[in-house]
Amino acid sequence: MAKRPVYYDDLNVGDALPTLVKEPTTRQLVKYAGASGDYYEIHYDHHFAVNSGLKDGVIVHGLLTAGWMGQMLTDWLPSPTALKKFGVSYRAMARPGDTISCKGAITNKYDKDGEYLVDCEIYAENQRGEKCAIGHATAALPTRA
Amino acid sequence: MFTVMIYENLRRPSRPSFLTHRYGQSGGHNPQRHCDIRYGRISTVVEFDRNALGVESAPVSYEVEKGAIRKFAEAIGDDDPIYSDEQAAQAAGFKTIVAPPTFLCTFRAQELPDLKIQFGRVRLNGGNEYEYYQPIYAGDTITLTAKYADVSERSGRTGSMVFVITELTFKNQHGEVVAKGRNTGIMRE
Repeated sequence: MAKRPVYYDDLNVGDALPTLVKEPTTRQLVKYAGASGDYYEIHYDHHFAVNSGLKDGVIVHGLLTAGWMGQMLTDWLPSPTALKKFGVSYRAMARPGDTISCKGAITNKYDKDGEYLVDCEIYAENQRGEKCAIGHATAALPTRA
Repeated sequence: MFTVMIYENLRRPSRPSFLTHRYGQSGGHNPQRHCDIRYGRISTVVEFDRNALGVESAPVSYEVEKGAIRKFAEAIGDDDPIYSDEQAAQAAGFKTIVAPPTFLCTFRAQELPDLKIQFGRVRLNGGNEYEYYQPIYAGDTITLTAKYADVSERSGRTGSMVFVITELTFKNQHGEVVAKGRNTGIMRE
């Protein structure tokens, strides 16, 4: 899968990152539970979730939402190792059946210790425009020179 | 159960109004130590065992399996072949299959000392932050240590919550720090 190259020189503060859209299902939560080793039942057992105070039932693992936000970044970046920092805080719960859009924009660009870096603010929002997660990322990019 | 509320400098004016609570017993025989914690503009009192802060967990090592990376990427729904196909990873400039950024969460630390906080029924993940220094490759052995860095408390729209910050260090088989992590655990009523 050849990616379109991304150069530091071509990016500007305010540029939007390409959006990634996900439609989680309960099946995906079970797969993620297995793959991540997070077997907390609030992510796949409706009754357990309700009894734990989540009245609408199971919720998406925060780290799965973070995984999508990471994918949004690595789909855009020339390589996953371009990512230097990545942080996510969870807000509204994401649920199976939601449509989650991962988005971001560049907030700063600078060179430091020989690396050309961009800071991004990132978020994941549901179909009602509620932010399920907000975060930040810093990536090192190649230059055209 | 209601205690003092002290306004700090208004660093976070957008926060909702806060209440402060004291957890556990307020009598003098409580073995847990009191500690002032500041969150945002409020100084509150949370009871926990401060001796547990900063104590590093025993190191634990994991071999990074190809299949584990592939299944993790599949579960996210990320079909980039660098996570499943050695040739594709090499064509992209890696020596072999690499791990996606949040793969770090699959490594579980050894048990940490008990903070002795009795609060709430719900345990939620409030946030995860990572810094990356080196790629993690299939076949690497990753050694993880963790420590509690902070405990704080606040009340908001959904009731009182206690925040527990855990810091993680990931090293590979060459002793290089490949990544650091910072997790925010939430305890909620």
